[in-house]
Amino acid sequence: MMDEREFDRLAELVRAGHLSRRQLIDYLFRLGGIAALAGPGIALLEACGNQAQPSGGGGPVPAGYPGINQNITGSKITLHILLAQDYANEAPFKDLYVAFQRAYPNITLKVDNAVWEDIPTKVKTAALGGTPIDVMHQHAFEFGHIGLAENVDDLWSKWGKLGDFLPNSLKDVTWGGKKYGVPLDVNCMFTVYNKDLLAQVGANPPTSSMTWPQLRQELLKFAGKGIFGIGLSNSAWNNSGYVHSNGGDLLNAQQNQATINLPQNVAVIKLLNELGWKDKVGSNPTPTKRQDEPTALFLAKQSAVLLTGPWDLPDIRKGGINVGTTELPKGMGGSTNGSVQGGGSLFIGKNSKNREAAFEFMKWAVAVPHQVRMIKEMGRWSVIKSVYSDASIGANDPLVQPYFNQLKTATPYTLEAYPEGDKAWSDAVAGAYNGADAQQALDNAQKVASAAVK
Amino acid sequence: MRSRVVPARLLASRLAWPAVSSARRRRYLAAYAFVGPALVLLVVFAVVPMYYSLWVSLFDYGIAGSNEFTGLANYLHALHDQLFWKSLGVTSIYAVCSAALGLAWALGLAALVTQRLPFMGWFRILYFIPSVGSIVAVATIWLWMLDYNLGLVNYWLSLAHVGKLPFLQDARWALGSVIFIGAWIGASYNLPIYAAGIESVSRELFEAAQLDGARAWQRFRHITLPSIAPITRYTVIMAIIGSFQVLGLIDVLTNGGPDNGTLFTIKYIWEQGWDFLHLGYASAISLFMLLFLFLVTWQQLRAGRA
Repeated sequence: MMDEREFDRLAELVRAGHLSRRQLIDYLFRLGGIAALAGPGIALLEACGNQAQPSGGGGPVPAGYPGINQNITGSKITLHILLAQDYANEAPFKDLYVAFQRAYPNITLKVDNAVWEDIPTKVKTAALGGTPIDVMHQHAFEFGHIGLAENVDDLWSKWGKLGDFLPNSLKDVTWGGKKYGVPLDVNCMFTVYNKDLLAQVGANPPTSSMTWPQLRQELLKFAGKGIFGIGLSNSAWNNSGYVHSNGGDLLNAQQNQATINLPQNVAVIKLLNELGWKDKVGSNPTPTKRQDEPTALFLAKQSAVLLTGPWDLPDIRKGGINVGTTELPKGMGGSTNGSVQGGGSLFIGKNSKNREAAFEFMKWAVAVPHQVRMIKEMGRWSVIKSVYSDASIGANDPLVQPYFNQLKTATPYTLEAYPEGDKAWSDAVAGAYNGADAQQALDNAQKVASAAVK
Repeated sequence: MRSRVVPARLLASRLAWPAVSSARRRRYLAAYAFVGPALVLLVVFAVVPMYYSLWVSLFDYGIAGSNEFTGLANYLHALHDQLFWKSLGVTSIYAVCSAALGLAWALGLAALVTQRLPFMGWFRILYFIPSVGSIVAVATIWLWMLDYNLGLVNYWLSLAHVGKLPFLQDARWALGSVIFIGAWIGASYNLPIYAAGIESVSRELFEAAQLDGARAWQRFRHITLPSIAPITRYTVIMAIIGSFQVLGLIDVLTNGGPDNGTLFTIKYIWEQGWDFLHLGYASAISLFMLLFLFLVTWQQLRAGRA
């Protein structure tokens, strides 16, 4: 008969994936025939039941991950995956590849990575060459719109987990009412400030009810002090967030008409660029590739206010800054609330031959254990509601609370789906920060974007 | 009317390989074997894509299958596209200025390093580093140095009470900055070429001129410069062609801005093709640029011969 130690040893081997359930049955049968199977064998199989499922071609599945999809366990599949560089090589993802391949021994993952900005070109080149990449990482809505992402509404219906996701996160994968991918992580812009620097000049810290003009009044106290009140960025994405904060947007609700020169958009862009070239309390925005400069200034204690996302918090904490956080200003009059939503999603290249296997991998990437690790080890916030009830992720941290509040009103930068409109907006914002008339710059951008969106 | 009939034997003799010895044939085969792979690569990666671009330029070519034949519409559009002509103007200014500055810089340095002074060998190696380094790394270093708020150059200017300058923020300053960096990279690349050219000029000429009382500048002006004229012709042509291929530098430093002030044609082609997915139009303006470059090179060769 089997003693307790032997029982534990076998259970551990099965849990670790070194012994399949079929091999276990064979072993038990050799050990004591049917009797061994009927007695401790059943208990052992039950004990391992949560870890290793009946294979049918599949291998062990770690707890918390989707069960084996028998539709993809048959033939050999090579799944080509392209992820952003700062995701693909992180430990949670490396472990994910191993676990997924152990569960699906017939699937080989071929994982490539690229810097975020280079992924669109790679997606387009692969599509043009007739070799679509199976799983890609970017904003799925953008590629759904230009016809390079597979519509996955049917796979979502089959999965039935739509309700598990933060509603806003689904905006990153939705275009024209259809879903083109699975959201991976989510973030948005909010306000971070250096309490000590503000106190030095006698400025009040930003609050959740503060408007842009009120913030400007406080920042004016930095004039001539040799420190910037605020680090400004001319990033198209950042500035779309400021526009949202004032109740504006760059596309209409149907996303088929450009609205770049709405009065509320012009007002906030005008105020922000005046902080720089007129009031001299904002840093002069730098070219596209130096978008990290406002953060660098803040970390160097050369600016007091930073408009950023939660990804900067770990570095700010390490910098030993006496920091506070709040939401973005409530527009020009205090009655509006908004920000820009970031993060990314995974999607399947149009005409991929491995559609279902690709979707399965995407499901694994949003499994709760993996999402928790993404928060803890990568600072990437989850798209799954239930993850936020896990006390270990630090969601109760007071510094993060304003971010959660802000996330409720954040919307994605959808103009990105129209590359010419995106460039027009980007150029207009950069021009305005360099001293061009905001109204005129946005009017010009509106003309270009209108033609592109049409 | 009587048709001209070529006797079959005559035709066969004309078409046949010339009689060559087996040794010579082996030499021919060896030569083709050496040239062959390069030729195949050239055809596959240069000639075929060029003809394919010509074909694509006649379509409203999209990735997602919208390939409507549009004839010469893309070319007509290019004729009226102000941004395309602006990009050609910006590139031409860059080409002329960075080539002139870079080559003069390289020539001056070459004249210096060919003197028998200490550490000149090391200097040559060090100065060549920007040419062999990654253009993205080189551009990133300059991006940091020319940064308005945190850059080293503006820091030095502030110390000298000059005040900060918008090296990459203002369109005119940005083009000037890019020209300067392009010239610096070009000087690094052309320095060894000029140095080799100067060293190949016969010493006897210099000694004779020195005996006749020619001063250093006169020897440089009347012996060195004419002797290295073929090299100069080559470097000028390569510098001009290279100027039309500058993409990485612009991508990192200015991304074509501000206000399209550094929008080079190659960047515009990239933007149209890969950002906006107007692949047909991008092909058409590529061919425009090819024609433009061909004319410029032809003119340079003619001027050189004259």
